[in-house]
Amino acid sequence: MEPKDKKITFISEDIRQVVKNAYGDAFDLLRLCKDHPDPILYHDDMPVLNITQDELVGIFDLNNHHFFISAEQVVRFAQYCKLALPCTIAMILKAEWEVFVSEIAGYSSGSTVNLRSVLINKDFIDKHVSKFTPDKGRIIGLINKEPAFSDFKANQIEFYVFDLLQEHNFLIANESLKYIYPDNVITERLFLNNLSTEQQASFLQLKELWQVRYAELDDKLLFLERKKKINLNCEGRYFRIFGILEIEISRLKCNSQKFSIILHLMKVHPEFPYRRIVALANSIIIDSDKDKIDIKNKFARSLNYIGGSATEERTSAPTSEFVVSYMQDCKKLLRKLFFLLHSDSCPSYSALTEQKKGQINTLWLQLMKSTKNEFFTYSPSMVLYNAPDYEQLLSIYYKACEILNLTPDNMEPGNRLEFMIRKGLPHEKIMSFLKWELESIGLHLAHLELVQSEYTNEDQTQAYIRALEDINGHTEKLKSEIAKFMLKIKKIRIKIREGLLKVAQ
Amino acid sequence: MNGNNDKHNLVPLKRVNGSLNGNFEGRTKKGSILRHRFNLNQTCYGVRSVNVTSDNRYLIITFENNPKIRVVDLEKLEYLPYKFNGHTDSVRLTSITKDNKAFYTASWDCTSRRFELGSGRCTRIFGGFGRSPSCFLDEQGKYLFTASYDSDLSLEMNNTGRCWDRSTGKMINLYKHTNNRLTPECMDIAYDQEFVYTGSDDGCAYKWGLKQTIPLLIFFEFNGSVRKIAVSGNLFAAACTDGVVRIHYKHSGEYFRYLSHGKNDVRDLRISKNEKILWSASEDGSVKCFNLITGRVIYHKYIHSYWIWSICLMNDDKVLVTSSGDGTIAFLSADSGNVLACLWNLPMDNEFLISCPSDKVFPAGFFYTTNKEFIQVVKENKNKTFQEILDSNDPRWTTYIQGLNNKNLVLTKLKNNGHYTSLIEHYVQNHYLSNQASGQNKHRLLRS
Repeated sequence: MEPKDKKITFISEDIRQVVKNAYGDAFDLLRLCKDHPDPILYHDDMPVLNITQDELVGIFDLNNHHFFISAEQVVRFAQYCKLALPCTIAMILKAEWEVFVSEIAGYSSGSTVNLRSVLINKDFIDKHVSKFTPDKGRIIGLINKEPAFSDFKANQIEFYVFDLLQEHNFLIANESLKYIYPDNVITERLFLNNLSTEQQASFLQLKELWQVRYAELDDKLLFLERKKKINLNCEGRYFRIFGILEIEISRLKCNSQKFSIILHLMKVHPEFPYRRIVALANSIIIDSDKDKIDIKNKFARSLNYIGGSATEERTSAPTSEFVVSYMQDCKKLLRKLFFLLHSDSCPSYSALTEQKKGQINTLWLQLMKSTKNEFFTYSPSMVLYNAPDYEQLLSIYYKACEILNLTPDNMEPGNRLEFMIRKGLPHEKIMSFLKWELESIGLHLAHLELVQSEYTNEDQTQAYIRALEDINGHTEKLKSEIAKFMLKIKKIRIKIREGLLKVAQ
Repeated sequence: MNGNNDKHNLVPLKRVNGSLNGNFEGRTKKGSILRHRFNLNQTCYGVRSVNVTSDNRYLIITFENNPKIRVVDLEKLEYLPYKFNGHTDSVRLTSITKDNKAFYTASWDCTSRRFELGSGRCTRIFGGFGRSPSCFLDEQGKYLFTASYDSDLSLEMNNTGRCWDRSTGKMINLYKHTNNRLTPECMDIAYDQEFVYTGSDDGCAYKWGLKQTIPLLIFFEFNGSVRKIAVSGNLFAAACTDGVVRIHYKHSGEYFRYLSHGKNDVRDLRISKNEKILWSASEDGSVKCFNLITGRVIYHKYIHSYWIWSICLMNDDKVLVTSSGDGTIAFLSADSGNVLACLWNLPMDNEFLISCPSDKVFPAGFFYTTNKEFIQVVKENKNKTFQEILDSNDPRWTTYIQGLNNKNLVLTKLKNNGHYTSLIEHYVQNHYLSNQASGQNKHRLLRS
């Protein structure tokens, strides 16, 4: 339902109206301030507003000495006046908008800029509102701290922020928002009842497609995680058989590189002492060293394997019900992680500091490498032999919530549709939401198909498989490679010795 | 699309920047390459007509020599599970209702039928005329127009257009072509909420009042056949068998422009919504795109190895769909004529195969199929002197198929090629960066 009046109001007008609606005309606003002799206390036994009476008065001064109320204080005020969630979010946005506008207009205390005229200037608003990108993650954090709103999921709060910003509805009188977001709960049945037969059919068709695509995304994420694990097992098999030879090759390769560099440095810098040249060469071959360590780790991990023939293992094998429910839990968690760690779905990714973006990226890498870097392997009868490690995923999830300042229990992506219907959004909005979601999920799925090979380390695994098909042949190949490296090293060392002799002479 | 002729052409697999073989390069068998080909034991059925619902959800396909009708769900890349039974001869054209719930057919079994998309049920039959090559629905949903070879019924009769009241089934008017017929036989009919337009194998193109039996005006007359007509806001265009697209102002009948497609029969044509572009499709398998304002050719591309029967537009005129006697349906970028995807009209009802051409990331192209047996993976050396067909139990076969059987990439390409292009640009760029970098940065490309 659209409000009758879409007039833009200041936050001061909203404050006055909200308090009047909640406590009547006679309410003394100054009693909310911290320096009032008899302040009204909030549920934390502190005054409702952590501002002085002068500052409160400043909120209403739109000329020279305006005071900008912070988002934290707005939440406390809104809660004290028992405002609904969308109205609270709108007030937060309006408070932040006024700060944003004042910065653009060059307003400061005592300046000649008329804040009042700027805030209601439609051209000014149209020009700058698209640049207004408040930190959604911070808003979600602020809202979730309030006990009354603790049940709201992050994506629901994010939806309100998105919706209020999209149509600039946060700028209109706060009390008008009840027409846009009515309190009465609307079920899907009621929603459908208000639609024409054609609209019903197109909604149901789109909803079915939306559910199918979401299920596909869940399946794809789980498939990739499992594939990663299966490929890791193949790597394990390879290193159990060829690990020692691979380690030898990596050692010789590293040495060969090192000696080549030493020889080169001796030619370029004949004046350098040998020890200095060796130290320089060591600093240059860091990458080869990393590879060497990586191969050692893979070998060590491969030795953790215990064959699946043990009787004890067979008796303690998990039931199929357990496996199914474990997989379902993994699926749910993977979707949450996917939602949180992707730049286009992560709440307020664009508003994050570079440091936090870096942390989220690191977490994403951790997820990618979740099976590659871990040091455990499992027997075939264990669930974790070919299933993702739930605990590990969970730890990544908790870290992501911590970085984004979110409450882990309140993250529930995927149920937005039901929520939107409940809140009485018009049919057109719900349909455009579904279309947008379908496009977005389709792109995610396409992207996963594009990167699946890298994600699961598939190409490398194929190389392992080929080697395992012909163990003798591959062993011979590795041995001949070792021989080649040894010969190469021998030749380089002779040259180095000759060089050193020359220097000594 | 070279159809069945090219189904044995091998396409090589080599992912960008040598990502295949990964760090293992040098220890794999050098000089050999995996390629794939489509292993279709039976030839695909020639496609007579294509039509897409206005919401771009369903593609309706009819067959050249067969009464079958298939409907592809373009959101799921699968055929609807309905047979659309009823016709006994080839369905030549379809016309979709405005609400995208049903479609009407024109068939050589001398009937026109209404089928429900949601159930496959035939709910109405119009008959009493000769073989029908065309039908047209008016936007308001009141009338159905059919075109038919009524000489099939009586030697005294000729090609006739008919207007039917869709709700009552009653025939309202006849639009008779009277001149002598030429070969190939053809007729088309259209309506613009005011006037009826027809073109036929007597070489004439007419404009009629809805309830009048004598033409209001004759656009042109020539020694050939009018295959198809297209009517836009101001223009009337006709695809003619002499290789010319004749365009007139539809209100006055005055000459607007004649465009030459080539020497061969022009089989179908479409005008863009903004009347700036015209696409024509020919017997030689080519599509030509013209700037209607200047008359200049924007592109001329050979898409199919056999004739193109029918074309239609989708995605707000961004994608052109062509159907051919070679058994394939091509989805082209309407702006450039580049092939986005090719759907194979397989003989089996439940099998699906759609392929996409090569690009930066997939030099072999990629595909989506429900039956992996259609894909034959061949290992061959660089000189192509040695070939080994991989067995379907071979893990290399499985991996190859898994890497290229990408339903969602096909979907993205069909729905929004711009999105697909930016996805692969992003991928290529990050792949390059990751090859430069090491350690953690290697996985940056995995971010979407």
